[in-house]
Amino acid sequence: MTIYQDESQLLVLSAVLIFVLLCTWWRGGYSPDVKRCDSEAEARAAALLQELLSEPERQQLAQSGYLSVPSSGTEGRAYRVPAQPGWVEVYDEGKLTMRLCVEPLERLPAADVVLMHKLMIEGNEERYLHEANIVHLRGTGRRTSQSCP
Amino acid sequence: MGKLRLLSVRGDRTVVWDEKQAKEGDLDASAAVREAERIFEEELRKGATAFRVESGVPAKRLDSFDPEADQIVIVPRVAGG
Repeated sequence: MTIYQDESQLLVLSAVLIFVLLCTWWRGGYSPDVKRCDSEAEARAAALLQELLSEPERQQLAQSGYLSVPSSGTEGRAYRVPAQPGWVEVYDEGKLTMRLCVEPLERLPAADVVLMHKLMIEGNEERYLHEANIVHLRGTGRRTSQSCP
Repeated sequence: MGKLRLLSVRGDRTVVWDEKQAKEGDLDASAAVREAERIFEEELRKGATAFRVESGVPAKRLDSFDPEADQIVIVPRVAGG
């Protein structure tokens, strides 16, 4: 009986292990093709971003690590979009007032995420703010320890 | 020449069309415009947002396909993280 139970447990453990390995393989963790494709995707995204940014925007992103996008709806407001996915900072009249966490529902290369933020802020700001997870900082100057995403 | 660019995990996918040739009656060009419009509508139905992008001008959201746009970028649906 004990041996039978041990064998059953071993079978269950083996099945779980096989399932985990299959999931990892399916997500591309062990696939060199997918990794190569990811770097190609990053390169394509970087090229598209370079193409669609103005020269001052390209310089700002390269030198400061963020892209400043002026609000179309609120005077004196600008959004700082980081070069790598993370919190977008909102400055009102030069003061940090909010941090926003907004992400695409499908995975995108980092440069495409920067472009996504820029386009949404410029062309669909109301929807962008509606979807965002917002941390208000007005008057506190505090920094959040939460991560985004 | 119009260009539709769809952001995706593999980088952007590009669809091109020639509105001028389509207007002149070129069947292939007309088919390309229709295909771009079909993809545009399909992506918006999935929750994506489309923007008309022009150099030096803020992006403008598009709710319907504009065959005269030089460049349209479609971003997937976003949500708070």
